[in-house]
Amino acid sequence: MAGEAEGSKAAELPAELRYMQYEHALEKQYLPAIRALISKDLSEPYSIYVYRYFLYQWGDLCFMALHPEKPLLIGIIICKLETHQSHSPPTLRGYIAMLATSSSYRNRGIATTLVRKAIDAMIERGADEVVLETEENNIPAMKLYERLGFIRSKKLHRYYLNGSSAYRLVLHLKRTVEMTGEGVV
Amino acid sequence: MSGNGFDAISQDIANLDINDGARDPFAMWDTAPPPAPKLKSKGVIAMDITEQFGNAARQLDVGQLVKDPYFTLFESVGALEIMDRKMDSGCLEPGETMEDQYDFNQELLPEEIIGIIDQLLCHEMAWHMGHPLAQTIFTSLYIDKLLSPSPISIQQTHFDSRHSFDEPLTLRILRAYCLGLIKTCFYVNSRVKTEHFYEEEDFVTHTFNRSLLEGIEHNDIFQFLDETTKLLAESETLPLDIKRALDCRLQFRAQFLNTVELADSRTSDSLVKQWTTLGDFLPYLNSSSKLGKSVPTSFSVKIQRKLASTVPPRPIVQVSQEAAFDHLERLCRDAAVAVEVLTYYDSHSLMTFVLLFQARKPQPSVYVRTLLQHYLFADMVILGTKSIRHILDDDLAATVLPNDQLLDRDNDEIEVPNDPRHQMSVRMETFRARAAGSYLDILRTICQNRCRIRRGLCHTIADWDNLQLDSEELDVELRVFTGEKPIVDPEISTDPIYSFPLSSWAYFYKLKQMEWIVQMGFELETYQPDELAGMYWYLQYLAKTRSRHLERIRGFDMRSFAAARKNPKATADKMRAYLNAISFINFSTMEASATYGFAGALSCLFTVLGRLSLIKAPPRPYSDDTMRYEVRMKPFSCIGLPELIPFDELTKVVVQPEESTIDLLKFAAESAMGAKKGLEVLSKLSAKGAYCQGSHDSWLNNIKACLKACIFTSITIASVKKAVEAAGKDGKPKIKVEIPPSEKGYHDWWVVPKVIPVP
Ligand SMILES: CC(C)(COP(=O)(O)OP(=O)(O)OC[C@H]1O[C@@H](n2cnc3c(N)ncnc32)[C@H](O)[C@@H]1OP(=O)(O)O)[C@@H](O)C(=O)NCCC(=O)NCCS
Repeated sequence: MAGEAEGSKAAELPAELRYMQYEHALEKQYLPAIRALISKDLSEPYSIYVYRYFLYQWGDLCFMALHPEKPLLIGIIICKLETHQSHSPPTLRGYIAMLATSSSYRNRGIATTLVRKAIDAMIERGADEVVLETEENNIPAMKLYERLGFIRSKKLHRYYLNGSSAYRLVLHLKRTVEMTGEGVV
Repeated sequence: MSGNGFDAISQDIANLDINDGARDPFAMWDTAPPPAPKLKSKGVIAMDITEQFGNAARQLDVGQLVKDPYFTLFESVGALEIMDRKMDSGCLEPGETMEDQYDFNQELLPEEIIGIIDQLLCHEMAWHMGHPLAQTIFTSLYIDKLLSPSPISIQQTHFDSRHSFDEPLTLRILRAYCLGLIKTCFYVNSRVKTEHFYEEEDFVTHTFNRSLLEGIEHNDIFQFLDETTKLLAESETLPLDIKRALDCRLQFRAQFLNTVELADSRTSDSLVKQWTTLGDFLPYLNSSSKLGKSVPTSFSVKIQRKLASTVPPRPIVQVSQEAAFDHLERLCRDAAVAVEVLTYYDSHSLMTFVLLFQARKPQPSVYVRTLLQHYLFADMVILGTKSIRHILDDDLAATVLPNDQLLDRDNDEIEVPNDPRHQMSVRMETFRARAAGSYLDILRTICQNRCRIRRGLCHTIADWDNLQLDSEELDVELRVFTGEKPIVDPEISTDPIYSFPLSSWAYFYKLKQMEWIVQMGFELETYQPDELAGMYWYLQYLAKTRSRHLERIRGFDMRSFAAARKNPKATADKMRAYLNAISFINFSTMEASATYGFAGALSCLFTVLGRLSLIKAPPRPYSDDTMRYEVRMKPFSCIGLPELIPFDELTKVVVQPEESTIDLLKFAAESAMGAKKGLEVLSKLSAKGAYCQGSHDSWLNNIKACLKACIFTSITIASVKKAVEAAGKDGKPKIKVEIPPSEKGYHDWWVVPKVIPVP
């Protein structure tokens, strides 16, 4: 849609990027690069268990952007999808846990594509809504999500260890009355 | 994602080649496994199961997750990787020692004492700002020495045992200061812990299993500081300026300690004085800081390894001296203001006080906010002198039940069950039992941080919706005993109209809270630019609903007032009760109409800006307007009255397709003008008339800020109108629009767009 059509910078890449859905068999080959790419923008590293928690259970909701020629990881999105209980009624809630594009490849629509792929996969599995948190000053991330249809539902005071606050962003994929809390297996 | 900051780390590990990535997972493994631990428990026989374990583990894939269904994300985030330097606190660099080698016997220069003390003050303020003790005060080796093992007398607090007989004055001063500091922290920590706050989000009360000198009496420490001050005065070797700087630090600490100890009392008249005296130390404390010489080696990140904690050592928090003094200065000022809440005028003024106090910018620190909570609620005695019933009855009397038999305390004395007064008393008690919690919840919620206020209100309104329903039932029951005569007016309704005082009261507060939720949404920048027209429309709708509701209440108040005036026995006191309620209703109505006028003007203005494509909506391929409306209005979706307006209806009234752009702008201009007049009238009210006794200055500042925002809105409307009228054939006005961030406007609740001409 309009969001992607506007940029032509992506053409600067030598060829089409490869986008790949993750699966457990790829762990040995890709996990170290995934960790490296995500940790770059974190003050505190996540332990390997955090990655495995997501990747082992929801590998199909994780997508990688790979360089067309070199064995290089350029972008990554990691998510989960679960029934959210504290709600009445419960919802099948997708959660975008991590998203990053390698700094020299930013502003070419890579993260947008990754997010779209993840949301598409969630929709296929019957998700009712998608949520995530992002730091209040992370303008690129907020613009990206808001362009796709997320809105800020609340602000979370001093949410991160570095003391900065966050916004919770929410995207409903269905009318509330149509939310069942159950997915397509 | 939860609990992790996104500030960049320097290490350049991006573009890592994925084919090089996979390392041998057993590379860390030494050839010889460590010897089995010696177990001494009776009946336990140790067995080496390395081989079985290894065999079992080999059945698993690398990276295969073995977990029960209850293993959560939270737990996985808590897991540590052994031998990863960033996570494993026992992982040492080659040649690194577990603990610091610091010589506590070394003499320090007096300048270095000043340096350490000032660094400790920065750490103390960093703790007040929300950082853990482990990364602030507890990184001081002197503090560590003082607290472990936990001392039970001053004699046990020497930094070095050799000092028991012969302690240099410099170290004695440092020790006295540290003792005072930790005891101060003890009071602050106990206060915060007792009140409602959010651990880590607001403040970290965790002491990592260290006692904050609970074992040593307050007076002993205070006296020790005092004696040290005298010793210092007797000293003849120190240069005068250094001596004065040290003296100031000791006295400052004694004063701080004393103040936080007294601060808990709700009767002391000298509290304001204590805080201002403390604040008076700051200018010299700050300016003499340049005499200090820092001793970085006396602080260490490694001490965290000794603390009871599940997280690896994290960097020492650096708060600049400027920021620290700034925080402390505000703390003193805010605390002195908080004390004024103890003077009670009326229930509405009390709520205004708390609201405005919490809206001070920056928001008062957590400690001060918990002090305010303590003053308000401690022991369920409001402000230390008033029962909850007292406040609640005051509030009912000043809105819906002026001089009403339902609030007559004599009813409680009647024990005859079929006496209506007994029945009234019983039902009113039921009502109070139900309503008191909800009412206090409003006050408690508005004591939280700004984000939590909005989140909290989103929860409490659902409760108020139920309270309104429950009260309605009581209202109906009470009619039997009060003998209320309904208003019968065929022009209004064919049914008789009853006053429903209790549910009317609940409805009034519910509406106020709904308005606050929308307004806090502006303050916290929750809405996207293209949502503003709708949100301001919703705000004006709520305020208008409140205004109509107040109209209804006024009608009944006036009716009972008129009836009472006919009674020759009515006292002046009783008449005053009616006048007071009517005056409050009038005030609240005025305030509501200024709000709906202003909000209505902005709503129209934003609608026009949308029409002119000066505010654009993003493409949003995954969402539609209705689904977003459901997200936005979720807090209100469960509310019975006023019912949530269906999206299509709302769109029609916001977009107003049948109105021309010029007409919309004309209406916006008139509406803003009306709001401006209303705000001007409000700004001239006395503290009593504006129900802000005890906080009139803040209230006036707030109204003036609204007024400025309102005037600026009128200017913007006029500029847009001019640009629209001057637009060429293509109809495109030569302007662009900027929406200032919340902090940059005149008032956080009024987002006024800025119009800039473009060629
Ligand atoms: C946030 C982050 C993931 C964005 O990655 P990105 O790949 O640069 O994102 P995109 O390229 O999809 O979008 C960024 C911009 O490029 C523009 N863009 C340029 N060419 C584009 C194209 N061909 N298609 C789509 N968008 C394009 C987008 O419109 C967008 O513009 P905007 O800033 O005006 O909204 C990246 O900055 C990052 O890794 N940050 C650090 C980690 C982080 O913050 N993660 C998010 C935590 S929730």
